Amino acid sequence: MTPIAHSRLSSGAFTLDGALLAAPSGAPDEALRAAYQALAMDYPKFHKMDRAAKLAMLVAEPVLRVARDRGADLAEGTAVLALSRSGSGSSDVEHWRVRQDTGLASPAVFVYTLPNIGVGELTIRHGIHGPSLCLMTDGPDSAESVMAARLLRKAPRVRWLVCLWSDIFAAHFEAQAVLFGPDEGLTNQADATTLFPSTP
Amino acid sequence: MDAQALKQQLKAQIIEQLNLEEVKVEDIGDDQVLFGEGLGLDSIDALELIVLLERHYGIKITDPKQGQTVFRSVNTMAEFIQSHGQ
Amino acid sequence: METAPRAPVNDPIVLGAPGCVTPLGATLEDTFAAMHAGRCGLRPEPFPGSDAPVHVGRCDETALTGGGRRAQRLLGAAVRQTMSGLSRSLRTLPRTAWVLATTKGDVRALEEGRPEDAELPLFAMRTGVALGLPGTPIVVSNACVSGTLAVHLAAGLIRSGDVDHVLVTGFDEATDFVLSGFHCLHAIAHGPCRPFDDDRDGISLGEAAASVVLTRDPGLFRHGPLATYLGGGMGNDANHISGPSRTGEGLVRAVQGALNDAELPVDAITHVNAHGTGSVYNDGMEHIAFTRLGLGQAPVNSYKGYFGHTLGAAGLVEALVAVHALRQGVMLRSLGATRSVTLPGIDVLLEHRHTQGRTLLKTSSGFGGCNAALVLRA
Repeated sequence: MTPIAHSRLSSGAFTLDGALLAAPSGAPDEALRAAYQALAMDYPKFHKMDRAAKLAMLVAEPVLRVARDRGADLAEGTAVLALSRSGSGSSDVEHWRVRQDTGLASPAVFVYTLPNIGVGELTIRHGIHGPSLCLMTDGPDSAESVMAARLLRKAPRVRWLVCLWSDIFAAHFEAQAVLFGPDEGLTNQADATTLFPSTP
Repeated sequence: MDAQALKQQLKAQIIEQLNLEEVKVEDIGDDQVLFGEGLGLDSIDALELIVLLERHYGIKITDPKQGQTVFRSVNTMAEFIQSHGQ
Repeated sequence: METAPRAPVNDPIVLGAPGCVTPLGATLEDTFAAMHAGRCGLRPEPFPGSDAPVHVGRCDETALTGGGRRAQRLLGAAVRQTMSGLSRSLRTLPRTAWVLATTKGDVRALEEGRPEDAELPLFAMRTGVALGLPGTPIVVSNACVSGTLAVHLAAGLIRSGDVDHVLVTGFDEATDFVLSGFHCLHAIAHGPCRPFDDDRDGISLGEAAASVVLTRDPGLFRHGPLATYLGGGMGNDANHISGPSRTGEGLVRAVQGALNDAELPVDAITHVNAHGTGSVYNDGMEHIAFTRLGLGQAPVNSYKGYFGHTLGAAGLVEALVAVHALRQGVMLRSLGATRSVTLPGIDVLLEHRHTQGRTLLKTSSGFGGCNAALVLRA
């Protein structure tokens, strides 16, 4: 697997193809804000998202910028595969805490208690109408995530594919995004099990 | 609480409840339209404001449509609270 | 290991050995019979935080079988029906994948103070062990389109040659977690939900589990296949995370994708089983999309007035009921809809109707702006 672009975001390092974009440190909220500022995204809605959606948005941004620079039609020709272990776990806990503490629930918290909402936010920001799929996996790489990626890549009209692994729970967060193009990167090898290169 | 203090408190609560990261209390005018073109709030924010009224002021709005008039501006919210509150 | 000849790669993909647990019955046949008799599985219950009772569709506890967590017994009851409908053992069937569709899985574990046990990959792994199934499932958690998407994904895995057979399962429970959320969104109907009715005012939540096998080998099914998979599609609104699109864009794209995939013109569709949540905006969005697509000739219904919105299970359980109904020669009335004049140009089923048609379009739409569609032939 040789993607066109590969971004990684975890505590202390936000990279695109190994080059440092930012060194976001501190608690998740602080680190995610630093990463946002480093990208100069100017997207006020970002601040209203939950941490999981923020993480997915941030890690996808650099590779989608590469796609756009290469002339990708994000609206029509791009598919998104999202993978996560904890999914909306942080917001799930928060929703239930509010429910227990107040007897009420918070609409702005509840709407983020689904693992695919980060992808939804991503499709809204970038105007992506193509197919998307959200799978819950134990880690970024598995035989099924490669199979799912190949299926999305083969969907009608799809020429570009973004695969995300993003996971945040309590203080731990990590995310990766890879971009595959019309002719590039995605292997047809039947027994492939990795989507995300181990380096850089 | 006098009307001016209530409005200031409301603005702070709106900013906190709606995570308006880049907005300060002084940025919100008393009569500024909160939704759409104004402060740019959306339907989830409207529901969140219903929760705000219930949690902080003990006022229940059961029909979200009623929110459209109540949440027009900080002024209309303050008037609504004063006419319904204790 | 036993080796059976593999079905030729151009044979159609068929669905069979359905398993189903709903608020209206412990099997697909029982559920259909209750729906045909016009029964509603939604019951009022008090809800903490609400002055008025809310209507919820709950499965009969006696329908849940086996051991383990309630979520596993619910899902297990459906899976065991599928196992008994197969001519070979699912446990030893080679080149077989398992897909699990759910939005919240065992979120009761989180309610009980153990959020780590609610993590879906862990829950899925444990459930495989509990149900005696080999390996862990591919877990699709794509909001309310999960069940529909799971079938589409399964067919794709077979077409691509990755596997020969796929067990597709889906479930969600009606929990306080979900009820309190939809309640704070002011999304819950005052009575039982009334999809496609002029006076619809919100959704009702339900719970269900469903299970089916996709394969090119109809000999796998003791009682023959239930339906043929013709095509699937998906599309995103790219509009709002919780509000339906005003143009129906994502749903239009999903349906067009499914029709292209099935290589069928729109007028080949004889029946639409829609998402039909009963919310003003969702059903209105579907009306716009179906009108744009030129689907006016195909009678439309929603099953959510019978057993509520079963979230991640919805697309799967509704697709199974719909093809079962077509095999009985009937399209069921859209329970709760008595008048539908504000949705002109589509044919909402206000009464059961006999049909010779066999070609179903199943659609689902969900939070995040996702949409999915299937074309199945009963």
